[in-house]
Amino acid sequence: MDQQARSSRIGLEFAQEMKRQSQRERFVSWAPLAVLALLVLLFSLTAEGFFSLKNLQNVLNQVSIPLVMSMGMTFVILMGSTDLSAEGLGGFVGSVTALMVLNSKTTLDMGFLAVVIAMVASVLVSALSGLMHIKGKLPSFMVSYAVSNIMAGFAVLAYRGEPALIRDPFFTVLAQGDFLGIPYLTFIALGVFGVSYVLQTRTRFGSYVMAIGDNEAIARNIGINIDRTKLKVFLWLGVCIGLVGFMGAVRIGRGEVAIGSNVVFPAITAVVVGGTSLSGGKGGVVHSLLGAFIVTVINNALVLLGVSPYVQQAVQGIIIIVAVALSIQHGKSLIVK
Amino acid sequence: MKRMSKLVALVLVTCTLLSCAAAAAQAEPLTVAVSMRSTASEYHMQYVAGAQAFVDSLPAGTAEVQILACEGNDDKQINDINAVIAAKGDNMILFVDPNNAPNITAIAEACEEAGVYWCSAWNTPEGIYPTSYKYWVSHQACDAVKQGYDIAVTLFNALPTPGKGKICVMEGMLANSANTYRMQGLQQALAEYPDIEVLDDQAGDWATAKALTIAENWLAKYDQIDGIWCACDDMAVGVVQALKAKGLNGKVPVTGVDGTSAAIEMVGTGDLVCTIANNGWLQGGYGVAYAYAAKTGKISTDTMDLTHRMFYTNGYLVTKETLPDYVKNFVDSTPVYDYNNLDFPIAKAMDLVK
Repeated sequence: MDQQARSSRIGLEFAQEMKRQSQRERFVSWAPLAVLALLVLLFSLTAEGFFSLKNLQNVLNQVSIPLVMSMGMTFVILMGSTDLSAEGLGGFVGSVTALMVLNSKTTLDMGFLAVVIAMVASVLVSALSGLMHIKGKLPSFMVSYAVSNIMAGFAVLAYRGEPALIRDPFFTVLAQGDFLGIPYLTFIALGVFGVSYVLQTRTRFGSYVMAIGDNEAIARNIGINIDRTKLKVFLWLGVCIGLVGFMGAVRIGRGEVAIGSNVVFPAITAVVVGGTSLSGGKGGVVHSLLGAFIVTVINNALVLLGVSPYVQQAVQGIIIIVAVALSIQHGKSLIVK
Repeated sequence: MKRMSKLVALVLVTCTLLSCAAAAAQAEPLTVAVSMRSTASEYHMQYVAGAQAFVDSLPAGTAEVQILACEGNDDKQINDINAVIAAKGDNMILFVDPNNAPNITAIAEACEEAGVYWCSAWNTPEGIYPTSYKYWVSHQACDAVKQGYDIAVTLFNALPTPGKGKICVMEGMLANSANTYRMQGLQQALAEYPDIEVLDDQAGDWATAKALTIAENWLAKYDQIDGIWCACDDMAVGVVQALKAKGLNGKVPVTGVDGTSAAIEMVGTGDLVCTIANNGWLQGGYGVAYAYAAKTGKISTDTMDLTHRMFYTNGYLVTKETLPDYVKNFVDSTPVYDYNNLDFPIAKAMDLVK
């Protein structure tokens, strides 16, 4: 009798705890939005020129690359992996695109076809990187780091020290033009977000990625084709990295390997600040959208505030830690890996 | 028959030994190593082209250039140099642009131990000078303070009201000596032009994309920016991109330093008011020429004066006025120097920090 009472009490406590947790999760899932709102409020009050139409356009322009990168990265992180290949691969795509469109260095003038070729190359390389991880059972972190180095090498080889300047007027307009005050590149980024949202919420692929991140063994047992789903994640990542490389080249008007530098960690930061768990299974693209805005707004405001460059990086680091602490789920019941 | 085969064997062995000895006697070409940051940098590749031009001035087949690119990694630079020393012994000379100043000490000790004559450019810590070493022949740099000053003065005079206005300052990487000195030059110029107001000062880390973002933020914040002092060409490219988006390129004067081909072109279009070409051909070419002269005994570190051990080389201020001359001498043709005249590259002696 005693035994029975105890087990029913444990059951009740468990149910109550689960309820508390789900309430907390629901509350916490709004946290990134609250953090963003808080930052916007704070900077509007303190940074001259922050709350203005001109700066809104500016932020929308600057969020485009981190947003696209974080859309590719979200799926990778959702399934519990990490990928660093964008640094070299993005630089490679940007470099060769600049060499294939009308430019200062080669006689080629392939126009939009150049972008398609570079994108296909990006997807293939990312697929190859994914296959080495999936079939070769090598850690994605290491494989992608190696692939990044290889592609950075190819990028440098492609332009041999003197980056090509983009002369194609179409791409110049793409970089600098806007529609209703919103830069064209931002439309591309929002389009990528839209596709990512559909992929995550309206397709089986999206559910599979979540299931794999949550528990790969269970996902395998219920018949999900793990390898194929993972490969698709890397294909999508390849599309996003390709776009990042292309947009980076268009934005600075030339193709150099440095286009890829400083895109990976801001994107991972955006994903995590947005509330997606690094160990997989929790979060999603809407979170990353908010995360990308948080990261961009911080960068933007520190310059507007005129923070001394000597302390800027430190200040940025502190804000990121506070933002992560506020926006991710870290209740007692969760294990942080 | 037996004697015959012994004779044949003897002849064969002798021939083999002779051919081996002949091969050994044929001198292996001297390795001319150039250690710098990256093959992706146009300016660093000018060092290599300069070193190659020097090698081409020697009898054919006597020397060959080997590139050591450290890709921004201090350890890699030291390891690569040690690896070449291990393979070539003293049959090499070396020209180094240290990734960071402290690397110099490790390189100096490795070369001193192996008896490798070498020269350096740009970075060296205070108090660590060639004069303390036998094999460290010379150290050279462009006068970065002068560069910072020259571009500042050119910028101030190019403002809508010459000598008066509001400017933004795009620094390179903080704590990097080239940036520190260029900033000193800017401060000197600012002291001479009291009507110039600095609106903001940010670090673009020598990177195009970061400079672009910072400039976009400036354009969102300030209604009026009269000019932008920018510490290098790569960042200037980013700044001009930001101005282009607002239709302000050519209207807001921007400076650069380094003389990259993109910057030279932008001086032509009016997007940049000036840049300074460091002339990596001269630096790399004479860097190895000094080491070679010491190795072959033409000069001796025991008797060289201070001016030849540590000196500044001249950069080339490229403005719209000087552009045609620059293009003629450095773009349409690669400069070739008389490497026997070791006084040629010296603009002035360095002031040593005692």
